Amino acid sequence: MEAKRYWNPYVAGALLGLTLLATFLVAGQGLGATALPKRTLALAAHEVAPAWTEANPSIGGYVADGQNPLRNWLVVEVIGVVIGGFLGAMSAGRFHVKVEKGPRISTRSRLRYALGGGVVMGIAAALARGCTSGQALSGGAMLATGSWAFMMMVFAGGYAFAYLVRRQWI
Amino acid sequence: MSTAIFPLAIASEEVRLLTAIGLGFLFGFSLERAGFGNARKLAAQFYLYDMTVFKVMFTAILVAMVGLYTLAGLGLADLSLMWINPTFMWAQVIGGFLFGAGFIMSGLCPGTSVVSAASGRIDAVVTFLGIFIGTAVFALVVDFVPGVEALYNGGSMGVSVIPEILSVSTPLFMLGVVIVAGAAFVGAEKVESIFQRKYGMVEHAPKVTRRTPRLKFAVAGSLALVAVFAAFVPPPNVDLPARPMETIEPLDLAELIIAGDPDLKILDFRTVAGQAGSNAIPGSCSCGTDVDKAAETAASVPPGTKIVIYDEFGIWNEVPGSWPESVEYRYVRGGYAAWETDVRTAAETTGHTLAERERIERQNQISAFFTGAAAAQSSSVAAPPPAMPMGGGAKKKKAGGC
Amino acid sequence: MQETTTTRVNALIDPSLHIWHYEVPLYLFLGGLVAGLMVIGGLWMLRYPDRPRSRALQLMPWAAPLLITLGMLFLWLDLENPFNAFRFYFTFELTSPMSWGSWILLGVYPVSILLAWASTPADLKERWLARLSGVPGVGRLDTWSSGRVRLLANLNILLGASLGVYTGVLLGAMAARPLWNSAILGPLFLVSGLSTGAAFMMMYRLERQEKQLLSRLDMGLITVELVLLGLWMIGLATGGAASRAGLHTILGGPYTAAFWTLVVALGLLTPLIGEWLEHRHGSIPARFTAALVLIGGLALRWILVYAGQHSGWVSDLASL
Repeated sequence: MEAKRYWNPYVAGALLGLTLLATFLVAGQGLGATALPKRTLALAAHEVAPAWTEANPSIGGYVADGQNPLRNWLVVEVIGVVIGGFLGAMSAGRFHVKVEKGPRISTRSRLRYALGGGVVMGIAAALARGCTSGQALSGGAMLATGSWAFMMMVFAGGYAFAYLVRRQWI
Repeated sequence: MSTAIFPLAIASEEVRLLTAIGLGFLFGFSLERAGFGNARKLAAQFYLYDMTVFKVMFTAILVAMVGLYTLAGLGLADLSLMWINPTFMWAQVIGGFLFGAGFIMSGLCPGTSVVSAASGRIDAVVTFLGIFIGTAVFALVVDFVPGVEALYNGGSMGVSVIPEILSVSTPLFMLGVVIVAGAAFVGAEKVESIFQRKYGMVEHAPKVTRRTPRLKFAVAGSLALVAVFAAFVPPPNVDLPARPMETIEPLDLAELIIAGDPDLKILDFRTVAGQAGSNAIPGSCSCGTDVDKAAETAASVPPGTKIVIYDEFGIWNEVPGSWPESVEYRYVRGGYAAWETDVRTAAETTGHTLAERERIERQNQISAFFTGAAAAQSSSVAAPPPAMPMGGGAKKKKAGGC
Repeated sequence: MQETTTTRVNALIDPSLHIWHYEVPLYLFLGGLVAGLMVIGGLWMLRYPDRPRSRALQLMPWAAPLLITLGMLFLWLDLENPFNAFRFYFTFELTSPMSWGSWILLGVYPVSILLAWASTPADLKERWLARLSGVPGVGRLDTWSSGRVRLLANLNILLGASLGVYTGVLLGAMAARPLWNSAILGPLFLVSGLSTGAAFMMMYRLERQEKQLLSRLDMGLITVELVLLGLWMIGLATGGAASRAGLHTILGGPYTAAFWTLVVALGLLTPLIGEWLEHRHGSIPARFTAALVLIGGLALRWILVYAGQHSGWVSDLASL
């Protein structure tokens, strides 16, 4: 089947904004994505080294109260994102098992970049206490100072390194 | 307390968790529809031939921001109960820059990598795996590499919002954001078309450029919306911290009432149960526990007025941040209980020192005044009716619901 | 798990004791999956005896004995005295689902292996026959099984269905756990097992038509499963106070979010809609959908086992 067109970005953005608004109104917090990796890690680390995990500045907070760190709004939300993304892609005829890349790069290199980028983002998101969803989008809507600083720096970092990895995309 | 119904008070944590699945679905669905399941489309933002990331993100931020602060301004939402990301300036600046580098390497961010993986993209699965590794690396690094923890906590400013930093009112700031974003949207469309011609890569960008009239209407519409809202909605009062309050002795207050101080305004903050079956301080008006109503009252009196509040036991000792600063606030030490014992009761013991005896005489005179007990040994005070309209309650025209 | 308890604190009755850990849900999942493979494999043989099948589908019946071995490994790990397990086969207790189960499991092996042999592609068969030529009786077994595919298929369906029902009855017969104490649990686990079996088959390189057939079957099975889940909950809701309290563990209690998120939303509704969309677009059913069905099947058993152990006559009544 021919894939459907993407929505007009302003329409998609408005739906995203309304979703974010509803999230704040219903749950009293914003959206996020890095909570799942962080909390899964906290759970696993707590099994292996409980004392170290509880004292860790980055993930200690998730296991401090003795609760299962995965019993969390943001973790359930990521499951919803999986469902939404999957059914969205299916209904638009965009579900394809493949590697997304520019024409001038091999699949192998692309996957290496993807892994590297993921690692860098994992470090950065843990350092900044959130990613583009949790910081830029949610904090941005709340006008939080640090979130706007984060967002500006994400764009700055992206543009700064774009030239170096252009072979990947164009 | 106030009329805010948002965020919803969901009694069961489990039910609250269930709302996440629906909202997460909408989140994932709108990201997918925006084209964020496609790493090439996201990366294109940084080569300027497809500015979808910028357009979608800022539209979403504008909608949520205006919605949140409008509802807060209308008193429907209480932002102080919502999670606002605390600011750790250094961590976020450095983390943001690093994140941008990772973003352009993988072409995805954590949220979009979930969506992209759910659309079958293998590179997204690998990216998500990388995020796991990166998170673990940071958890180790922050513990074992000196200085990283200092960076992690660097530039801590607590919960900080930009209008507060810039000392502008929130609606005004948002109006500025909307205007800048509107201009940036127009600019983005221009930039996009220039670079699309340069790279000859139009297939990723939906043809919005053909529909600019509709876009302009949308931007103008949102501008108008915000202008209307900025003009009519008072600034939300969530960000101001409470201020400590000075005390006033019950006897001093009593003397002010007797003297008929015209700048005095007394607010009764006892609960309904506390008010039932007992008197009130004369001239006070009941606010129940409605802070907002009291804030209105405080805003309606002229500057220089002395507002005295009291509750049952004098527990309340802070001025809510939303109350105007032009007015002086005092609270009755010991609350109504102290008023009963100090003012409405005659002193029993005889004093041993001159100062004590003076105090006792003073209290006896005042209590006689307020209880109407005709132990009229007092010569300095006439005996007016207890329920006198002192304290400005009747003098000020708009007494704020008293 | 301890087979016998002689002390006053009996883990089988006292509700606060969690005695089943990860092994039991994994075993129930694999048991259901094998049941599904046997039933679907048998039905396929009966329904389309002459239709050419893809190589992956021809080899599929071998998964049943392999996976049931894995499942029994988990079951065995769960036993407190694993080396007494052989004693199950010195007795038969009519009223004990565990006794039934151990005999069903014993029957699964020969029946599934013989059908798998009969279904194996000819070239592989020849190679194995050549290698096993020294073993007495192999040749006769081969001719016997090749001539009785219909009988073997029927036996597979029968034993598979029993296995699937048994995984549910195993829980359902436990009166001390109100959440499990329902007659619907047997059919529910059977249907869920069939659905996971179909999904497991879809994970392999089947032909387009084969996948589409399985996907259509799976859609029906998931729908039935949803109906059964509903009936199960209605049954508990209209039951006694203990049943209602048991139901509370997944309707407001501590397992609510996990159950509705992982089982209903992610494991049933999402693949159902996904399969329907695939069907409507005429595309090849994706492994992603099948993987979700498998996740949902595992989550159903996992959460039911844990939530059921959380539910009891005493603790939940106190919490109401």
